[in-house]
Amino acid sequence: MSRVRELTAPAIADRLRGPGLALDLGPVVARLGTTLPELLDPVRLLYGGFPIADHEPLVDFEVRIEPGRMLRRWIARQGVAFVDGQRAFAPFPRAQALPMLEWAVNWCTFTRPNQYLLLHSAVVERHGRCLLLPGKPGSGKSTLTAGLVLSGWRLLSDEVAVVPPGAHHVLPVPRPVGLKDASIQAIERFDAGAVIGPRTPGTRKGTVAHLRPPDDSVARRHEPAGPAWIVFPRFEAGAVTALRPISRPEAFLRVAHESFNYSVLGDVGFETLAEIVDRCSCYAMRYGDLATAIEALDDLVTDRSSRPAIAGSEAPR
Amino acid sequence: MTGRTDRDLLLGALRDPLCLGRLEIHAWSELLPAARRAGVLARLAHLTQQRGVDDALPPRARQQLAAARPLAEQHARILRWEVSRIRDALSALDVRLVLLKGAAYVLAGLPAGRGRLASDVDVLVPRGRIAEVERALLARGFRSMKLHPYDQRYYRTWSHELPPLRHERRRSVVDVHHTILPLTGRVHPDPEKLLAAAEPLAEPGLWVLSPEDLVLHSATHLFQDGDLGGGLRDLLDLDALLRDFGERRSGFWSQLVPRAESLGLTRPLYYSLRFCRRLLETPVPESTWRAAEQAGRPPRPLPTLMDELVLRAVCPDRDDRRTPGAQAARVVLYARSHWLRMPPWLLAYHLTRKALRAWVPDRDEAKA
Amino acid sequence: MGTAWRLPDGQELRWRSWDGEYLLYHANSGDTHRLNAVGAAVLSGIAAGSVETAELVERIARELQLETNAIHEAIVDLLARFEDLGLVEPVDEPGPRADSARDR
Repeated sequence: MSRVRELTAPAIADRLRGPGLALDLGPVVARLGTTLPELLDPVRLLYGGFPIADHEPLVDFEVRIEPGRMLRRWIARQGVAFVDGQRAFAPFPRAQALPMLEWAVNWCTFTRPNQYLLLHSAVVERHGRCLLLPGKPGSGKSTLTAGLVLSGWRLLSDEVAVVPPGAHHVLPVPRPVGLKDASIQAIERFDAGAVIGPRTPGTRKGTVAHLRPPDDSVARRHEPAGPAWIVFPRFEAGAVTALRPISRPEAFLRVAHESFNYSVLGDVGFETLAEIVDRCSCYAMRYGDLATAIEALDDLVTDRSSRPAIAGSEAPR
Repeated sequence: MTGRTDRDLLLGALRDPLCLGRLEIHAWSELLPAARRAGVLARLAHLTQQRGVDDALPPRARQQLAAARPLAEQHARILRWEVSRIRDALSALDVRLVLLKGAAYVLAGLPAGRGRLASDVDVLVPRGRIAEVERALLARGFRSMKLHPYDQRYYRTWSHELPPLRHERRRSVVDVHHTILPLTGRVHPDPEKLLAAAEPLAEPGLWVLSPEDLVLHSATHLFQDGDLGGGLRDLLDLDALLRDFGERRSGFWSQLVPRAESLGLTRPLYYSLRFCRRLLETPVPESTWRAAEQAGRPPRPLPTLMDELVLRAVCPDRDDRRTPGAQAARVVLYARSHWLRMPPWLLAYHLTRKALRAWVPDRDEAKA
Repeated sequence: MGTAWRLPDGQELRWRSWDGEYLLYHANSGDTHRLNAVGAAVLSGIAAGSVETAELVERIARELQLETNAIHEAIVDLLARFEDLGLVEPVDEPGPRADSARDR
């Protein structure tokens, strides 16, 4: 299979405008399409390492970003998104087409594949085991994820932990890492060689940009990893980086609360999340700067004594 | 693709899920989005599993169908739990709790309850007991959903139900009906008859409408009560009810039309049977169909016009959507539904207010 | 009090415990609860068979080595809360509720 960056720009443009660009993202295959010429370069850049899934006759969802029609096109300069051929979401300023594309793909990935338990969490891997970083927007988890990935950790996902029912592992979906506002500069300072796509100011989340996922992470997107740590990050400017252990019931509930579909899956959700938490040491981490946070996490995963010794039990008393 | 439309593909799949084992892969990329658009993917997923054809499907198709089931299962779970809480709340009152629609289908274990996405509970109580029932529910944490004062008035004065009640912690919704069609309508099925014919479930304290009445209620909902947005979903409910009752309940087919006559619902029954037969090949016995035609068929040329409108509104093709035709079809049918509900002067007033409010959303309106 | 408690028919409870705490998944409602040792003991005690409040308090006090006075009120509160959530019900015929406690 050719990767996106191996095709010429005109070839990519043709596909985007016409039949769409089918990408194997890991557990899902998405088809992207657009007639907006300004999206061509960003798509090539951010998805360059992904193989084109031409051989897949059936995709899981299709996202198209188009200019609005009539007045929306010429006067208001708006774009519209289509999911599986149907108008989706409200029209948006055309200048925000790229974040909108990413957002639409996110939405499809978070709401469709209910055959999996979907947790709202970044996932990165080191030494064969993975670290879950659950967190609301604003917790700094995306900055942290980007920093870890640039420090040699494998990226499984920046937003969603995909867990097959009853499984003891997480499936990768190594898409571009979304960064906003100050975290964009923080990452650029952290690693001058970081490949970051165009910035889009003025979105609901402020200025948004995306870090290209490392080729290695993309190449290993079908390689699951077993979880060993759950860390709830919280960025606090000027704070001293510190890890505080939290109980597994507390971690379970916080993760379940943030999950995309825990309650939909009922007892399967409960059992699957329990299996994951059972295998993890759980912490809350406050951090004031990226470098010390990464150092603290490196130490955590290298220290064998941080693995939970006692598995949970299944009945009271 | 052989030139058939998405609509034909979808209807074919729903009529005969077993043929899906032979469906070519490219047709799946039309079928799955079509099912999603019509809101029936979960139903299709239930059917493929039930007929045992799941294993014969292409892996990615099987996965997408599998992904559609959990939400329907959750909704059924919610319905069962909510019914148990409502029964508990009303246990001190000596009121028969009669379940309607989705709650009835699920609690009675009917095929119509599978693969359905709806978690609001609909119940029917005698009009004279409405105030007590509302009080009992409010005492257990239900709250009247905030509505524009106009809507509150509409509900309490003219409608067939209380304004919906939402539970403050669980966020679940219960609709308490005292009849099944609005009081302003031209047709007034007698709620006493509905209540008298209700059947108890195995679970104590729970009742459902009789089979004929469940079918007739669904028929009115599709063709008279609602705005036809439910379209194919509602037609599938009807088809599932008719097939199941037709098979399991002796006397069902012969009682259906007389019951419709007794309740004044022959017109919606006629349309329901017509479209179920046409679109879903529901096996309605000839004798029943003839009787329904005789009792409920409107004067020509109305049926032909309705055919076209309903077909387009119930099963919009992907291309249809972009044409003004499908939109217009829906608007005409919506206007017709409202016409049946309200006298013309009231209709004009109601529609004008709704149109105005669409442009100036109210602070008071509750979010869904 | 002379009230006896039981699980309503057909309740499905699933448990996990770590680090001295308990998670309960109540399949019928879809709720997930976090309980400490006392809460878990109350529910699992009732799940084992219908039991009167006083006896439950005694049993738990013995097992967890706590004073009955210390836990009695907490257990009464817990039972009220569990009843509101639909986890337990009094064994007597359900009648008009004496208080106007609401589902929270």
